Amino acid sequence: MSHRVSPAAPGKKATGADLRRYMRELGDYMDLAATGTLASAEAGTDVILANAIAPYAYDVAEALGVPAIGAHLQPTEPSTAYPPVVLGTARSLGPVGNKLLGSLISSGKAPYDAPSARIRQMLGLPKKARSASDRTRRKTNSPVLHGISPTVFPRPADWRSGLTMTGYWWPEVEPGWQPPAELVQFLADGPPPVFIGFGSSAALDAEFMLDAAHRAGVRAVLGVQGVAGPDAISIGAVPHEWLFPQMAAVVHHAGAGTAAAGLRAGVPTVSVPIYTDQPFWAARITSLGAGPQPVPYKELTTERLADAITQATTTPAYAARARQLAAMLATEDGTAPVATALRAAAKQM
Amino acid sequence: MAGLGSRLQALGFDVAIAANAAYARWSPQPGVSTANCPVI
Repeated sequence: MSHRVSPAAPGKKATGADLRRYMRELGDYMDLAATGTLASAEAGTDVILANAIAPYAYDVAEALGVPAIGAHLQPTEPSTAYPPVVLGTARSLGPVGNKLLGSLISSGKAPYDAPSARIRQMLGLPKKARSASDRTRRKTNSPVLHGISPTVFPRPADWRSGLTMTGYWWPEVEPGWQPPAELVQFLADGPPPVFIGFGSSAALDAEFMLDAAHRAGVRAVLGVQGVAGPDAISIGAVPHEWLFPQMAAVVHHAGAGTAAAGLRAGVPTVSVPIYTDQPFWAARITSLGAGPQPVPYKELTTERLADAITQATTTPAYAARARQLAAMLATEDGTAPVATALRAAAKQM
Repeated sequence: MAGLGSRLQALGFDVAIAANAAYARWSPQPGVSTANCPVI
């Protein structure tokens, strides 16, 4: 049965019960993901790429005798340059505090510990705590590729040499993909709208988004279902690469991929960060000058969202800076270093 | 991660999105079922 992990309602802080339920569901998900990883790898693989919340992939790789390479979308290595992203804040604790707390959290309990232990036991590997495996990989300078643009976040000076910043990994648009006719018509029928979408991250309904759009006096493309009219339209899965450059601004939760897509599109961003790394990316966008101050989800009201949308769509400096950043991102190819690393790893087998 | 996977496929790599079923179950919203899958 499908279920969806939902945060608290907008404008409210998550309760202890919310957080416990979230962590329990996250643990269930990671256990399923670990099982899926093992099944895929056993079907035959030369190299495994694992993101920051999939350390069990290294256990699978160890058992099968294949290399595993980190492929992270967030800076997760403890560093003086940023606070731990799991804290859900962009506020620096100072160089020493950032590094110290990053190291403490890295060696603490995590929802992927149990799947990692289960996989090791199932595959007959010796007992080893996930945090100990992390330390071993750091000591051996195990490679981690980061799908992050150095234009958006420069490589921290204290990173070890095995940590690479490649540039963003853009998804391919499916060959033959065509936009829905009603969306094309909507875009042609008026001035560029504002995209408002939060993926699976937020408990926001169409009414909330519509109210904010109406208050700001903008047309809107909504990432929730059920709206079709002259001022707003709902969409399903539409490539950001196609949609975002046609917007007056984009409003989203500032997840790593969506934040990158907004910057690539060269339009201003309104960030509504909810948790984990989202405040970090939201702060980067603001620091780079591509949008107004973020509106934290726990403080979100339609009035605040409308005000931020108005700032984003009426401040020429945001649009100019967004276009400048997009031009810089267009010169980067984040996939090429990954391809090189994969070929090198496969050769060593 | 699915973005990286699709890019690598375009370069000729044989790519499996390993944990997609789990991610799709966890977050079944259209359009995001593979975007954040953790392993390829």
